Amino acid sequence: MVPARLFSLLLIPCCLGLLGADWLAFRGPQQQGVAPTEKLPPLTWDGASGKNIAWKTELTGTGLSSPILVGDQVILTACTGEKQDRLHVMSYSQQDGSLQWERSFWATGRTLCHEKTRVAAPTPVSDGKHLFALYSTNDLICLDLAGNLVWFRGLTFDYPNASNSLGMASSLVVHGKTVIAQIENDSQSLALGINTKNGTNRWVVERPRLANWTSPVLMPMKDSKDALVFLQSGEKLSAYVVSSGELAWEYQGDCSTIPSAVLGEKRIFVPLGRGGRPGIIALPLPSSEAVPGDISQTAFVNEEWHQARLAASTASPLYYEGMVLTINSAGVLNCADAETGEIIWRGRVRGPYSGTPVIVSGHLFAINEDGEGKVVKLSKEEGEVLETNQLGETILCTPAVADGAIYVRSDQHLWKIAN
Amino acid sequence: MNRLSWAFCLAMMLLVGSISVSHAETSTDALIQDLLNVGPEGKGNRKAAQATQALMESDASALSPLLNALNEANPLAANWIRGTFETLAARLLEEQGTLPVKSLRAFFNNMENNPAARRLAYEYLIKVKPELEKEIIPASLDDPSTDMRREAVAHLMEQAEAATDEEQKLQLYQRAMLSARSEVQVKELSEILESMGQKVDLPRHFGFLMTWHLIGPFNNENLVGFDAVYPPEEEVDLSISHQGKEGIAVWVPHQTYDDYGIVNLNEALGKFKGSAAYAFTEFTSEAAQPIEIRIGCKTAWKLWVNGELIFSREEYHRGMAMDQYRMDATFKEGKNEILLKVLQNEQDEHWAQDWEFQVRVCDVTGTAILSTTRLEPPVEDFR
Repeated sequence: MVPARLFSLLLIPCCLGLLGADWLAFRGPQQQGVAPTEKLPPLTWDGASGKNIAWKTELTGTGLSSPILVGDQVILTACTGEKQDRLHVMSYSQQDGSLQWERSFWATGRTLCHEKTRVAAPTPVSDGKHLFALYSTNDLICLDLAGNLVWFRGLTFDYPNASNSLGMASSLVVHGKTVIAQIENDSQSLALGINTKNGTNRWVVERPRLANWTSPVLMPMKDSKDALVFLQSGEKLSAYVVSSGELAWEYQGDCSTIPSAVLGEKRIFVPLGRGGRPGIIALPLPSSEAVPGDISQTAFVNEEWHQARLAASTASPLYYEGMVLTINSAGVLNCADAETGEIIWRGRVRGPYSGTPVIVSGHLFAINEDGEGKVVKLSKEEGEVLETNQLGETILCTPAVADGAIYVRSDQHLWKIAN
Repeated sequence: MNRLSWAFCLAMMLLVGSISVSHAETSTDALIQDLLNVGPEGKGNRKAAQATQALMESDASALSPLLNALNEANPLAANWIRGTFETLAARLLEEQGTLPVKSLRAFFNNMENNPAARRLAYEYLIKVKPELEKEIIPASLDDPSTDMRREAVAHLMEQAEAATDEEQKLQLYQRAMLSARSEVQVKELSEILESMGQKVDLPRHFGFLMTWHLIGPFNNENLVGFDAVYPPEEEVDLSISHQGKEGIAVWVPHQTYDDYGIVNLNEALGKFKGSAAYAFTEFTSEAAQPIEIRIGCKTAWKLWVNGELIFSREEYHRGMAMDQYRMDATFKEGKNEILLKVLQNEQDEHWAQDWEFQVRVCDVTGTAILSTTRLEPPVEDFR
């Protein structure tokens, strides 16, 4: 038995390797989709005329992973080939969109996926020094910022039944010296904590055998360099200690397998849907009573509130200044009070949305699958749609934002929306 | 300095030079060996990480040994080598504006080299000599590399489309079909050829197995059938019946006429949910040889070749495609037995009703390997 040890938790964004205006992971800092900057991107843009399009660059491959931003670089993954079996990592200049370098690899895992998704679906992550790129084939690549190979793993090579014929999509998170890959499907499901330095396993945990496309969420620990990572599946939400893989906290109940949970200040908000119960539940964050690794003392939690009318569709929920926001399958933006779950306001933003919106300085930027981008000014009283913009291409990714600019990709192009 | 001293100095310089070259070669080889040694679960990664860093700082002389190493690399090592090669080549291109064209060309020209490695050599060759594309691609119709072949076929299809003489057009399309291995290209070519009045035997082109014996259903309620060992797994005797889920089950011969070799178990055996069935066929191989068995299947399955379990997969109704699963196996000369167990679950959604599979036998490039006792004439004529 692991000796009982108390730990307390606090949200400390600076612990997550944020470097100025970087956007290092899917949904940005702590996977909350909220920019750590006050500088607003333009509220209007137009793909056809080029209005407020700082640059647009053609891509060599397809994908729906999100760009990430490191220093002056925009990092993007893509795949090419009739079977999508060539995997690419590209680095573009944030200044002018020029290609800085490109590396490609051979897929070692299965490439079949649903026609709407791509092998390049998971979003890469960076610790500020390295890039980690994962694909639906479960190939995991670590490069330095100059594109030099640091290590390569083929997780389907290691775990031959870890694949999903609809495609895998969970994005990576990294904390300290551990990068976490959530490889869940109907057959061989697992999560791995992998040493960032050399790509060896720090830990492997078995996960529910259910197809799952959600992504991990990190929460740093106070007074510790460690963190918890929340892994969501169709039947539970579990928190593990990043450095050891020890189970620390768990909610047992149906959760969604597509939109991912989002952290608030006191709670984590979890989309439902798989078990027929719609909406979102709020769970109390792990507290000092949690004892990692000791299943008898692992904190099993109950929901604080459930709001059925706060259903999320493909896009994940957002938390912002006491508000929980979702876009449902009818294209309605819902806002609820994070304390009570009571719906505060609702408004139409026309869907469908595959990518999760992002929030910058009280403004929500949501780009639907038709490439139509809404800008909504948020307050606790209302959501005011300020602008409707067009990019003119199918957009399935979650945007990245930094320093007054939005970066978004389609199968054909990468855009920087900025003044 | 007298003549003897000069000769001594020269000899020493040559000796030092040869030692240094030899050391560099040994060092490169040793570093590459570290890349080749990587294995499952990060085995060998620590050494490989150091090796790749050192190799990326090498000069152009490391490029050929890296390509050569791809001939013996496992899929993980291949990517370590590729990543190292690309980084080194990119750096050399930036610093020197060129790459060793002669050695890249020589590596590409040697058909004995790994097809994917030859393709990599080609991609870097045309970065420095783009004009070679026009020379190489048209000559790659029978290349072992599927990428090279695909581009060559695309080139020929463009020529065929542009041809004004109908007889020449037909010949070009037929030649393209002969070389095509890409599913997309074969489909397009077969449609074109059929529109021109030509009969295309797609099952033969791909190597789909069309003739089976089937038995079932056995029980798979609550998914118990995946691990259950029913009699056909212990012995296949087509004359023996077995107790099945719905009574006595007997082996029934089945011939599929589907262009892509799909065997529809709902039609052949009946629509049974929560069930398992077995499909058995014999394949006569003209020689002992390594082969690939490629399966498409929407539900759970297990595959045995000559009694050896090759792979099993427990997934239901997530998708099916040609070549969804690729497995290496070995055929002996003469008769080989292929047994496939295909399971159906109890989902009642409309999209969870299919119970079917397709199997083909080919080489690593996707070129069909046909049983010497395959039924002739083409399967379509059996209709």
